[in-house]
Amino acid sequence: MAKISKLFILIISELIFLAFLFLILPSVFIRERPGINQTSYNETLSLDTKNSFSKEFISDQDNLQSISVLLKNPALANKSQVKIELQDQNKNTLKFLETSGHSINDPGWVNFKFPYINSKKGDKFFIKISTDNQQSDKLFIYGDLKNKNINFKTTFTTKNINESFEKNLNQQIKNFQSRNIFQSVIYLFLLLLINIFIFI
Amino acid sequence: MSKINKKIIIFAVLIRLLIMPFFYHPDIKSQLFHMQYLSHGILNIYDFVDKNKSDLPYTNIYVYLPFTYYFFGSIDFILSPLYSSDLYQWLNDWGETQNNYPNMIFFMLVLKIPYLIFDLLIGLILYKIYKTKKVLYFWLFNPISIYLIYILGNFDVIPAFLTLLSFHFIKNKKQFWSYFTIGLAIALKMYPIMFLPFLFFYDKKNILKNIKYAIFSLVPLILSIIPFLKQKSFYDSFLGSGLTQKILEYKITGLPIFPILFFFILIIYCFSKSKYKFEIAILQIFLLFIGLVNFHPQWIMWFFPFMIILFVNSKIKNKLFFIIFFLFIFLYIFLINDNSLTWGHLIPIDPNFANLRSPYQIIKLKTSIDPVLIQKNIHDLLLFFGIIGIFYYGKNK
Repeated sequence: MAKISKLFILIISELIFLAFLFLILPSVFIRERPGINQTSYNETLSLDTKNSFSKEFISDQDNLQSISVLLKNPALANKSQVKIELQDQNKNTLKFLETSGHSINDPGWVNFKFPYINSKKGDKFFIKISTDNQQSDKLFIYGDLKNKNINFKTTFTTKNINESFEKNLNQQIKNFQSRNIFQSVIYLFLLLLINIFIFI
Repeated sequence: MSKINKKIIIFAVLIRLLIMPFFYHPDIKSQLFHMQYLSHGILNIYDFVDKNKSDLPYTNIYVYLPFTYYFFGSIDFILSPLYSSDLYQWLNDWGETQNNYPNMIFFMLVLKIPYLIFDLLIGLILYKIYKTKKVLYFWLFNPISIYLIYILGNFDVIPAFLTLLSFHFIKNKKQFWSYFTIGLAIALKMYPIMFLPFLFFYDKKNILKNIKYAIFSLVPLILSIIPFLKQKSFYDSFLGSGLTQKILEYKITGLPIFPILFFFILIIYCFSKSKYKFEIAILQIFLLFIGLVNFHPQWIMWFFPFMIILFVNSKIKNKLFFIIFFLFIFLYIFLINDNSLTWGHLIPIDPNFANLRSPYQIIKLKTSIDPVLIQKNIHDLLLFFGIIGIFYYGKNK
């Protein structure tokens, strides 16, 4: 009987450890999670006074926290100003960031983080990129040459711990389901077997 | 020798199995990235990387020795039946999606199996050397070696095991095996060459025998590098690792301090009559190394197995010294401007940990204090404590 209760305590301790790792830590510390994004375009499109870009997206979560675009400043030589705007569905500017070529890599994501917007899943936004760079082919944005679509990333935040816990739980369930089921079973079975072995 | 409780060993394995899958450091990936090419039939990794650099998904050069490539390339081949189907996809993905692999926990579990074996073997050798369960159990349950082996996930545990085994052989007057074993360790990673003079002078009565066999400590290294000696890409790769530069970095009036004090420790060691003179000398080198060198955390592993007996047998105030010293070391590591040494370890649990700010970034953004300055002060404190420790143990020796 004493052995069974010790085994029980051991298994509970392990479960607490795993719950701490998978449920508590991410829920408490990861409040900002990636949302809708487009990262597959490899073409470079000239970004200059004649070529500005606008990208529409529908948010897939609540509370928009940041947007990022992939720019290229060859040899870090261009010092022009670049303006990144977040616009609502009526193209009114909600947030804007003005940055110079100094902070653009060759290439690199330019992250524009702001105090989160009280937006809802399904809201429509626009990202507008413009510059005062007058020379063509000196500053670039990654996108698709044909339809002028651009690469972009978004992040969304959670307002409270309950929401964060729920999002994390969904994420962990999704991860568990996409893991190799055979290896998951073997691993858990191995742990159980070792636990039992310790107490026989 | 008191009998080992097998269940305690199994409990130690259980703890390791609960840690191994869930912690990650990019070194485990970058090392395996190059080693995978042995299975593709690539025998000259230096030449291969040099010629294909622009086409490879990971562009850093291979910075290890040839034997390391063959050794871990073979381990990769042996472990490959246990790999998840997407392991090689992950290994060759250095882009945006590199952390988005739910099977990463199984990659970590399988890739750390060799570390688990060598970790347990270190415990076994410690038990054989000191013939006390206390040392073995301390090795199995101390959080520092678990951190160094399974969280940092670097292969330094293997040369560390070989160095300890070499010490075991020299203690048992098996000179050939001692030098050959440390030779294998040197062929894997150059650092055990620091331990060589201490092995050589361990038993002064057998100095002639030592002279006869010492050459074997360099045989594995020489044999493995001969085919590459005329190759520029080999020198470019090998000289990029930076340990020698780091050791010579700290200078006073132009003189590098570490080699000079290393020499003094060696001289005192030669005249020491202490039962634990080897372990004390290695501890002194460790204290000096930590204080003077901008060390990588995994380098602590080189010295750690030798310090166990001194810690276990020491009085409370000495134990307290060790604990405080290691707390400062961890504080130093914590402030390194590298997220992979803090939140980044948790990527297998959630890839978004990679985007969290490291303590370095938080201090820099939220306060007016320069984290580099805090880190430098901690390093100075480590040097101060280190010097006290060197004299204290020098006196005891």
